Amino acid sequence: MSPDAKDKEQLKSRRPANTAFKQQRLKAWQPILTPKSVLPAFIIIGILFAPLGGLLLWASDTVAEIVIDYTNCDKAGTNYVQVPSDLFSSNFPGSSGDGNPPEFKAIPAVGTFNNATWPTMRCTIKFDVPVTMKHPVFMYYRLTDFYQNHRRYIKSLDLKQLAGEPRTAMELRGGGCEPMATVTEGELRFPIYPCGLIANSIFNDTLDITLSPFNSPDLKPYNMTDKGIAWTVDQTKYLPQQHPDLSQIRPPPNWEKKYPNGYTTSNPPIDISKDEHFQVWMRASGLPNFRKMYAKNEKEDLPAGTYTIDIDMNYNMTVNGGTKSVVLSTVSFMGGRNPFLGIAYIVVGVLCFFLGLLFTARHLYKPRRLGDHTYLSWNQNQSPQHQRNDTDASGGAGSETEPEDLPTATASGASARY
Amino acid sequence: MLTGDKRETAINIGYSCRLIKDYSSTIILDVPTQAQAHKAMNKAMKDVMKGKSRHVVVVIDGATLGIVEQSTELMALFVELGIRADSVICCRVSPAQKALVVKTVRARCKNTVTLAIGDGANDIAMIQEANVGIGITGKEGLQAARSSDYSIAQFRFLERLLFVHGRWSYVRVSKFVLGTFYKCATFYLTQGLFQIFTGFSGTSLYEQWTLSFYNTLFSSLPVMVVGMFEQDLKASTLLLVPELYTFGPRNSGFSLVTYGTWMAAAVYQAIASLMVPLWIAGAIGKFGVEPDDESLFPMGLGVYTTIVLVVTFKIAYLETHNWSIVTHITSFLTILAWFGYNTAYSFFYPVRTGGYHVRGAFQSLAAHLPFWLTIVVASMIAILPNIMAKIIKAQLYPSDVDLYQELEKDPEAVQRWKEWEVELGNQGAEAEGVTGSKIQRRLSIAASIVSKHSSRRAPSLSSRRGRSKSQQALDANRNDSFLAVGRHSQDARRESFGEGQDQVGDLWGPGSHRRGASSASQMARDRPSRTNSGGPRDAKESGPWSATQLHFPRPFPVPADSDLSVSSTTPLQLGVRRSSSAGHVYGRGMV
Repeated sequence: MSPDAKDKEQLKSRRPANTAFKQQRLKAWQPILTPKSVLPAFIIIGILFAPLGGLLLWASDTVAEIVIDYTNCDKAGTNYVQVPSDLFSSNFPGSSGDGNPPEFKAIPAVGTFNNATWPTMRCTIKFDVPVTMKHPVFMYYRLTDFYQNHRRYIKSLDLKQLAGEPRTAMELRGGGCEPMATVTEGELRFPIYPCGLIANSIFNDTLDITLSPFNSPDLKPYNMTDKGIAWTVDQTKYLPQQHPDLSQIRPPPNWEKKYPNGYTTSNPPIDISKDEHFQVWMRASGLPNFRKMYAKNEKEDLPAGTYTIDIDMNYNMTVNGGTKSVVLSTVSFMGGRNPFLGIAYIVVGVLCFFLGLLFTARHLYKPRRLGDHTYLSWNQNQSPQHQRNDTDASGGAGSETEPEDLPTATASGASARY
Repeated sequence: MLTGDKRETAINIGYSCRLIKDYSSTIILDVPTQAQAHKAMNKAMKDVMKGKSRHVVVVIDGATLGIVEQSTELMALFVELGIRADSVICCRVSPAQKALVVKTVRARCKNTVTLAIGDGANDIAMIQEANVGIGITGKEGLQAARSSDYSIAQFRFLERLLFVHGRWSYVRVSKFVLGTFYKCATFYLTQGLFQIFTGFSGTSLYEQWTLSFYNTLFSSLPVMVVGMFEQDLKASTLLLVPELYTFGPRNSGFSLVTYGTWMAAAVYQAIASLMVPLWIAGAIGKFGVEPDDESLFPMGLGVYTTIVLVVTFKIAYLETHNWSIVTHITSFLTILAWFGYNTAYSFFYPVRTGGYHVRGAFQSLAAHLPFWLTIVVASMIAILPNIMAKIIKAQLYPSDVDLYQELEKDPEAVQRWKEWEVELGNQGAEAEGVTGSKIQRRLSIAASIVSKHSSRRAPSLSSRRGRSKSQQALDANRNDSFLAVGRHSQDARRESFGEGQDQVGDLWGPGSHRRGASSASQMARDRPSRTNSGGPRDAKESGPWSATQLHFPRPFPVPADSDLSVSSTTPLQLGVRRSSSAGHVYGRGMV
């Protein structure tokens, strides 16, 4: 090899490659926010969103729904009294009115569960359905001010126990289920099944899932089912305990109405894989006001008429100042009734449109020429006659009045510039 | 300039690199004792503060500096004088003295950043003392480069290093830091705000692993891309308009106000991202309309998705100017990662969990149209005010960067700049050393272009309305007066000598523009012939320094064409050294 070539070979250049990436010449889109480009976008957004919001609002209005707050039903007396207007809301699309306001009454009754009985108040709510509610029809119970999303509450369960593993008191003690983990009787400790605050506080009002027609002989009772109300995933989550020793486990304290003698062979613990109300409840809600499904009917419509529903009021909500309500609702292609989505779109659309118009108007009135030199920071602080509004030669160079000024201008000691 | 050469050499080099200009007044400090140094510097300071000279250069040699540095008071006085002067030349200084000068300047000007550049081993001390030390590799070896913060191969690369890469680096780091704080603030504020709905018990809205991955998987790429690839202005623009460099010293990229603006955006967007989905879910209001599954995880999904979209868009697109393929890829990857992660989660998360019911959640949510509609409207509500605020600010209170970004899009301006660059390129090395500073060169080129384009005087960038006749006349005047600036500096020797002190001294005052305007067109015609001439360096002419003789009364008359010798009997000499080798371009670092 000739000496030159050898030299060249040994002298490897450390110069970076001349590629667009390494020399920072990547092709790039460098847009600027000018009124001409952005304001039309705002107006277009406005034109798109507002009608969409209108559509969503309309869709939400097609959902028939009635919500009745029955927290204080037990004080209503044995004759029907009208539910106060702030305690119910209803929306029946396509009807001239919402029918008569609901009424409720409460009579003492006896609640039963597997041979256990206890006195309770049975609330009967009479409500109007002015138009046929198309299937599927869902029944929910709605609680307010019930903080299922409290940090300690939401962790308060034992996954193994719910998966069917037997758990002893020692294992549960000090775990996540505290303080609802074990029960002390004398000197003995017994594990609670199912342990935890969530299970303990389960909603135990009994809503009658058959709606009985009131004074309408040609209407049949409307049966709803409480199967299929839980998420399918939940049904694989919970497994019952196989052959538990009933003398060794105790029901949660709040369940004593249903289990006055604890768990016995005639009154065994619930099969958590089949009790969908339990599963629905265990899925702790993220907000303090929530509704949980109680029953549904996916096949038959609910014909118009007046119906009654019986509710056994076992659940004490006055302790925490919350309310409980019963909800009957249909769905639209967008889901349940939700006017807020439509309202949000309309608000955004209208605001965008008007802001776009407003700013366009201002821009047309007093536009700033793009690249106007008078706004450059080094053209400020001059007497007006030095302002340059329109100079060709100064193209992009800015002012030339103070060429020597800048490099030293920022030194803190610099002063007495000429 | 700190050099080890002797005074004449240093001053000659000062001339050739335009540290000393034709019209500069030079103050030479050459005193043997402290008392005399005190007197000389006080007098120099008084003269400088009188403000009669347009350009002041202080020259001090190593021996004098040695005397001065013995007293802190004198050193402080020297630094004050140096700060007020336009240039300072220290000749015959030792490496230790170089470092001392830099150190004293740093101590005196605490809020400034000092930069030292050198190519020899004797510059090492100075390079290490300054905030930014730059070493030039090459003729004198690699010692300076090794001990420096940055090393470049030629002095002229300094321009690009500072104006382009330094500025881009500052912009990138600022946006990176601001973006990082912003994205975290937005995200975690939603957690904090959610506590309003949990009774302030500390429940997390998001599932634990999803929460932890926010910083790494779902928001790191966009902000890193900004920190690496952002270019707020093109390199050619930055080199052509040195004034844009003030962006850095003015802390325009990162200050308390900028930080506050980003944090305000974070607060607003956190509120919007959380409250809009929750409001739509009926969290707020008496008769809510809660969805079927309002357990924690699905709710958190809606909010989290909104945040990922909003934060990615803001950091990668709204707050940056350079949308390259890398930007698009990383933003796409981020959002893909988010939805991919959730899909995987939905299929593979353990069924048995408490609190966050992840399994199957995203699948059912994604099939539910209101989920997407909620995300869209929440993102819009979060980001549209930001966009609106940016437009309003850019229109009403545009910054220099905004204006030049707009100009970069204007084909006429770009065309002009290209012409300038060509002219600058044509002028080449000679121009750099001889005809003056970059700005002066720009003026001369601009003049020639103006004369070319004078027929095309119609406003290129502005609207044609609103220009009254008188305003147009004024504009015409201003056009020419702009040229007069360059003219004055070149013609100071011609005009001011005859017309007297007040014209030159009055250059920046109110009268000069109008006075200069009359012969500006003449100058435009003369321009091409003069651009490449030797100019004031021509020894035969009376020289520009004669202009300065008017400003600085000399203790005794000195013939204009004789060299002033160093060994003159007067301890303090005011005056400008004239180069005997006019037009000579020195090789020391000058190209």
